[in-house]
Amino acid sequence: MSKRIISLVLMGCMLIAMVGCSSKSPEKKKEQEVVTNTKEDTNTAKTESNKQEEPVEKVKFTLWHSFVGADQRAEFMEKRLNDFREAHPEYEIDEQKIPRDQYQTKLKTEAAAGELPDAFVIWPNAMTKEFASASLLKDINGHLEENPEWRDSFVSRALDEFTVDGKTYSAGLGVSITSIVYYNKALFEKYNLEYPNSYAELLNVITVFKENGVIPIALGNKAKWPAQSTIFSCLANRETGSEWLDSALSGTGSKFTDPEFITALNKLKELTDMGAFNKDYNTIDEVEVRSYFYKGEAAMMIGGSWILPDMIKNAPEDIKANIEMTVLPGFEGGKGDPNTMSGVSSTGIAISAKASPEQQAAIEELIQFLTNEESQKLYAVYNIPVSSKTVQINESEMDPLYKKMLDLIKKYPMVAVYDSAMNSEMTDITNNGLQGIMIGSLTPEELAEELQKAVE
Amino acid sequence: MDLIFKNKKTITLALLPALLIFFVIVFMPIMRSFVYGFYKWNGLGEPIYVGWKNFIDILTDKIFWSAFKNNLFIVAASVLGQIPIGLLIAIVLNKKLKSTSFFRTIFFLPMILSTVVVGLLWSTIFNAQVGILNQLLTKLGLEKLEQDWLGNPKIAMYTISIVIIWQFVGFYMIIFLAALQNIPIDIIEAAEIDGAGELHKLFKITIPMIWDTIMAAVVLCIAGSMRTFDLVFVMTKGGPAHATELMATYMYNKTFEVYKYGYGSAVSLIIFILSLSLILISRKVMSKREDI
Amino acid sequence: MMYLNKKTILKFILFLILCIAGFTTLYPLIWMAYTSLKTNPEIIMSTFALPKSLHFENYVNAWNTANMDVYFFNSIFVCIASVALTIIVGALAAFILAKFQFRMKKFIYSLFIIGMLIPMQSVLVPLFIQMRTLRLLDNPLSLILTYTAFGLPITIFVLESFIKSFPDSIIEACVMDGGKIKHIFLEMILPMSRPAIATVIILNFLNNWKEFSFALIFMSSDSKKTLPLGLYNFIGAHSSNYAELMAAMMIASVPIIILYLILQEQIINGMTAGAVKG
Repeated sequence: MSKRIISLVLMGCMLIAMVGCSSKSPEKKKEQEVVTNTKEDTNTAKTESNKQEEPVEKVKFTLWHSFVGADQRAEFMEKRLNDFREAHPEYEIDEQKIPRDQYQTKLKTEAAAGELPDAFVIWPNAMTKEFASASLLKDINGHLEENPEWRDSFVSRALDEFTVDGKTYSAGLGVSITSIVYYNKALFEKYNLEYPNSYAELLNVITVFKENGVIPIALGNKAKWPAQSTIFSCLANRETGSEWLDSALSGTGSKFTDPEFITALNKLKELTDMGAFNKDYNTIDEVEVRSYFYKGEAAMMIGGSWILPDMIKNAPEDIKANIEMTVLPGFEGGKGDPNTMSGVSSTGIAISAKASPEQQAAIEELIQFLTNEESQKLYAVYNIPVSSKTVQINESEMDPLYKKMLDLIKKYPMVAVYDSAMNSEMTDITNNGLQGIMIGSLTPEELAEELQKAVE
Repeated sequence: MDLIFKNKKTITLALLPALLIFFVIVFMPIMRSFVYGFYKWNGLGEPIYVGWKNFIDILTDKIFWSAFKNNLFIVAASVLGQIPIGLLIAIVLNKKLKSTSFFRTIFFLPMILSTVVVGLLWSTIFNAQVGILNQLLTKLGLEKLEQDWLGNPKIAMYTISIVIIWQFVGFYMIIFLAALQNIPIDIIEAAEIDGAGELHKLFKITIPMIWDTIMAAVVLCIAGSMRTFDLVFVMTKGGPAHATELMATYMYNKTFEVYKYGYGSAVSLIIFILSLSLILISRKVMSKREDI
Repeated sequence: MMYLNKKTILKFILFLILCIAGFTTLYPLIWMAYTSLKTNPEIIMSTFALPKSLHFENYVNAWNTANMDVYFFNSIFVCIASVALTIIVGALAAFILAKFQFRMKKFIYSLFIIGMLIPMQSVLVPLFIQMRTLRLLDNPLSLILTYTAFGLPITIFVLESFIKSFPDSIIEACVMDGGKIKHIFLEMILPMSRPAIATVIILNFLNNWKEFSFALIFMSSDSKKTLPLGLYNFIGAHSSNYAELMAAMMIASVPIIILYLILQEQIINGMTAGAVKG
């Protein structure tokens, strides 16, 4: 018996010795790497072989992005990066794909250690501001100037939300609408209801559905941002109007303790208290909640354009045929324009301040490539809203649901989402505060005061 | 004899590898992390030295204190739940039979499962809209007991504690199983011949004989509970409205979500100090009992 | 007769309780197993229903999506190496701390507690910097050393408390016979600690097998990443591929379950061996 233990220990020692050896002989290891690389990634193999043919020095840069696995942009990115590699054999991309939540951890860890990839996916607004003010990014103003046609093709949001102090750091890979009201037409018809035109009508519709055992509005708020991003941003805008938020955040005139903001908070509370949402809205996430809507158990679901690819793929056909899309109705006495919806630019690719001029040029080329007309057409293929206002999309190949969303975009201008206008700390207060109001552990006045204090 | 067990050379040589690895990989980085706690730093730009400001801010933040309270709750539930249950199961299964081997395996399964699966499954069971538990209560005519098990801030911590106990009982079970092997069979047999009951055997023989392991288990349990993160992160994200916030989720949020790296590091130093105090207290209390 | 009856009933009740408790711990695995054969719409529509038809292709897709042909074996290598190192280094230290007398003993014992008191998330950045200084980034050695270091506390605690309760008289007798410390350790302490060693092998292997954060920040080449990184490929920002995720997790649990099945017998086996020695 003791022999077996000893042999186990010996085996362990051998293993360690092996590790020691392999780290001591880097050449041998490199060889192995090349072999495995060629096996798993034909692209690297291609670039490797190209390298041997032409002795010209290639511009090499690292790229980190979060479009992988089940992400809606994963296929898009894979295809477009392959196109880019083909179109530009002079560049060599060392690509790292990391799923979204992990991506943030890895990027922020390496940033804190003073290390960043040459090019990486960045979120608009708060994150861009934090990175830009720490001088970690290179702007693309020059490239935009040189390509006015490209620059002018964007909807303003796609560049503005990456712009800090007049310097633009990226361009959005599409846009995200955050407050589409998806509703099940069949359920409305079943109970002789029309989509509401006012807040009072909305309350009435909710009551009828509630009485008949239908979930009026499906909400999955475990992650805390959905109530803020999908419901409250638009709901508050109906009360306060569009200029109010900027004014309140910059401390010029409006305040979070203003009555119109408190009214908005109270309306959210009223909706929650009357049972407008599924009972488990606090404990399921924004993905899980879709099943209520897909099963026809919920009459409405307020969510972003990011739901669309999933809906087209996973919702049953009979439900899909009845899905309509619109926005929240206007509110009686509210200062906001009822014909708006909240939206934000999608993520973009940013350039590290440490990138060399050659690398910068290459990455700028890539940013343009991923947002040019051809790419924009491809967004439509993958059911992502485009960030260009000039691109012509072939309507015949379009999914009917995507077409409905395009109609929404044409009809309703977008207003700011709360978490895009606020810094990350205020967003955190808002997200948790709204959750507190909904479960009754915080009053609207308390949250308003807390927000006002944070501004000051 | 004494000379051999006091031989400095042996002691140094044998401890050196462990200490060296530990010092370079654990100790140095932890110290560096503590230093960040004295800076105002968003994790990106230049850190600014602010002295004790972060610590003062943390200790006056009521969310931190409610997180601390939640951690204490988990510590209590774990020490009083996992350890006794784990010990009991270990004692019952400490036999070389086919059936005990089967149970030893399935009680350990929750440890093997990914937190994602555990979280998903229990969330579905405790769900307020379609949850199995509420459906069961309805069928039994106990509608009054139906709850929003994870969404109600008053009971969410109880629910989470149940899941934590469920998941980690297997961990203590195998630690105690190992410890039980150290009890010579003849002692137990002698007690049985004397006609000692099960309880007598448990309290007079088994527990005293593995007391060192129980103490080690309590240390592991406190340390683990004070930095619980995964399960809560998956099941409630610390919500609703901070109701299930723990010190580690609080720290993670500050460090990686709101760009307050220095503040987050200060939180981890406070977690460290609080956990260490708890462990020292527990060791004091427990070694006293050993003397009696 | 009465006494026997009472005992049988008690045993039966105990068995019943074990069965119910066992069902709650076994069910998740069963659920994973049949969910891994469903389609995604099926999972979304009814979480607990049995599959309508069996989709074994989920396993093939999962194997590819999670890059398992590379990651799986990387994980095995890193785990075996780190567990072996942890056990050797940890057992030595535990033996010294349990049976030797010296001044710094309490201090050194407490030092190892420190490693367990700080949330992993707050060591990420400093440890990343440390690994860069050691030039070990993107090298499996960084993971092996880290897993070893963070596995040491639990290894030392479990082994130390186990070795401490060996009667001093046996060791002393051995010393009297002229045994050297090296031999005492290898031929007496290690074999006698078999149950505890089996336990810490399981616990360390499990921790390392599931560890995600360090692997995420240390490793960047695809050829060196470990399994948990691959598993997250199924969880997207706005949609998740549960079917393949479950399939991948089923595959990922196999080595752990096999290891546990082998080693748990060792934990109990020790009883007879230990008793003989004692």
